[in-house]
Amino acid sequence: MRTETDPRAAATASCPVAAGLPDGILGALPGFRHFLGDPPAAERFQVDGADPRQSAPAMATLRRRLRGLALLMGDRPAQAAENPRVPAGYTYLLQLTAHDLVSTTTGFWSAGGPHPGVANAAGTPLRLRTLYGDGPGACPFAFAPDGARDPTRSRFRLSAVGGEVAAANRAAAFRDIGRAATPGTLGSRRGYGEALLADARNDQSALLSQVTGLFQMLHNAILGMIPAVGTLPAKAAREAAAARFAVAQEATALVFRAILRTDLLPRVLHPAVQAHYGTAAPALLDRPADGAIPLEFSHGAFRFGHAMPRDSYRIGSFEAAPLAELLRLNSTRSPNAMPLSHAWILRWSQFFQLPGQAAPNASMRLGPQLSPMLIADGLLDPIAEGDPCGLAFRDLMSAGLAGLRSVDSLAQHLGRLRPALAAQSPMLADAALRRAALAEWLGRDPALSLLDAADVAALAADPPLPFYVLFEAEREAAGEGLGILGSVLVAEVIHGALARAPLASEIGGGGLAAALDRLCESWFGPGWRFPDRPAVEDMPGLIAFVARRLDLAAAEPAFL
Amino acid sequence: MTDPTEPMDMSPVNFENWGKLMKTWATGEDYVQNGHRFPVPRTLEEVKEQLRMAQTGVVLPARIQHLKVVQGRSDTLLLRLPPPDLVKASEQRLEAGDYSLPAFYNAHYDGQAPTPLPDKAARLKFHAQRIGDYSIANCQ
Repeated sequence: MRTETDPRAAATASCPVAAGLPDGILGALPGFRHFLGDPPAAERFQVDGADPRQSAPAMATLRRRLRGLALLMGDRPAQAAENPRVPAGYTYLLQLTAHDLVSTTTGFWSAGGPHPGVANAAGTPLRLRTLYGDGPGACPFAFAPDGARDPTRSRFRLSAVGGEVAAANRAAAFRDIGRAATPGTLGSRRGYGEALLADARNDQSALLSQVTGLFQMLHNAILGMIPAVGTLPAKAAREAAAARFAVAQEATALVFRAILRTDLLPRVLHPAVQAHYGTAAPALLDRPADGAIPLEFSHGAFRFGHAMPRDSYRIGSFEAAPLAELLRLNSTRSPNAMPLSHAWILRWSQFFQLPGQAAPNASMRLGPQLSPMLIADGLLDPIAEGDPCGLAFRDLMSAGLAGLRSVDSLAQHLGRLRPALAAQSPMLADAALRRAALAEWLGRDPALSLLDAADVAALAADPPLPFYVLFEAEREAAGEGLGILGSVLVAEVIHGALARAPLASEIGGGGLAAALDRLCESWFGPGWRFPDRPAVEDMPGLIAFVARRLDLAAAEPAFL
Repeated sequence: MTDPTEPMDMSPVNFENWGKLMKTWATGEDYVQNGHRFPVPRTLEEVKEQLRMAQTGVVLPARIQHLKVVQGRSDTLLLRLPPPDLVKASEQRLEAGDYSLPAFYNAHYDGQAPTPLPDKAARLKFHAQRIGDYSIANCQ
């Protein structure tokens, strides 16, 4: 229902931006950059011709419009369609990948002022720094001592399901990430709960934490194949221990990168873009001097994963475990429910398509609408009074505050630099068509959005990038993957990082198996090989390998 | 065919927004503050629309076909009796399943999720306590 007075005035009156706070980000953002270089003012996202980062009225207008757009985006119907091409587990592999590319101390949406001091600290993309941090020396809590009298830490620390006391000799019980209580920190015996992870973001949900744990188990499985200290031709025990860790770490990263190349990216990228970039030496548009991440990727295209979560999942005996509950199952929100109990341990065939198993949970088709579960209490509260809760508004505000390249600028550059690809997107090739399609979608529920005709026209002419990427995916790829623009932005960064900064063992080519062999030889001398080489390039292969090496095929709770 | 005892799906509910909407209806002051207007609804359609506008996440189950609005008074005992079939249906559910409380309570107890109730007797005791609470309690 609309107010009888001007709703825009009411919305703006309660908006702190109207009073000039916070401003957009104008200062340097170390670790970030713009796709194709710093855009001139005319090529940035604007509000009625003004840069919202430099104009309080434009920012207030932007906030009002984004409130309306976020309400539309948060209203995904219960009968929304599933994506048959992407099982649900890939949603959380994408999130882990995002954490390996970008890490900031503050979300842009909460950054105050033009110089908020936000930086991307991830630094070395796609080497699983999100798993290893700075290693056992700097992050000892993430790793278990090698023995009762051996302080060296080589294996990831895992917790027994449900905190099972008698689990010491039951390897199958160690299926949750490492977790701890911190007695006294709340003035109570148990205190706060903590995830013993190098990057605690990976405990945001019971789904992400278990995908994280799966890669930790891979590391532990690989480590288990390397002969113990004292049996290798290394010079000293310490050196041998370091070598074991280094080999297991790089082998795990090799598998992760192979899965990105071979399994994940082909599922989410437009086939034409995957064909263009999925080569040993892709022709990249963007060739930065360092590993900085384009804002148009981090705060634009790669937000597409936020549309993939289901409202509920089949997990174990639960037919429909609500997403909101899964998002609360972590050490921060539910410390006394940790470690995860049997009921919440994932059976991987429910999340990835495993041979001979029933179809897994599917992810949701990509489109500009997100699960309504994300508005549940305390998960993603409003930024300011009157703002919508949920993820959409935060994504939109972060993009609006960061001065991204506009969709129109990206379309024009792509049309000039990659005409064959751009031509496959009718909405990139024809701006009028794009605007008309966007206007139709944006204007469909004015009672909810409070967007008037001028707002709709303005957003259609200059749509926020994270919204457009999802809209493009729905319109031009049936929601089964990204469209052309979204795919190019993702491919440039991920395929680009894989190609630009190879691991030492990847230099020389030959694929994963050859890299694993080079890795073994470089540390342990000619002829040494893994007895069971982890040459797996997809998630089903990874799961099968871990099950075989850790003897989990018939585990309880079920692993496969 | 709708289930006359179909429980409401509370998992996506934002209780804060839902509470603000109730306070707006009760007092006539706008607690939601998001630009929409929230008069006391006169029809179920108006309720559904306002639930959406206020981003409550509340979706009414198909069994609900009628609306009755009752405003309490501080000098009147308002006995808001739950539907008898729903009382019986929830008792039946509690034979096997735990009583689930909204997760926002955890935030007020140091993030601690409630310990599962040990048996049917404990669940039915808690059920009675909860009905006693929300059937008679006024806003504090």
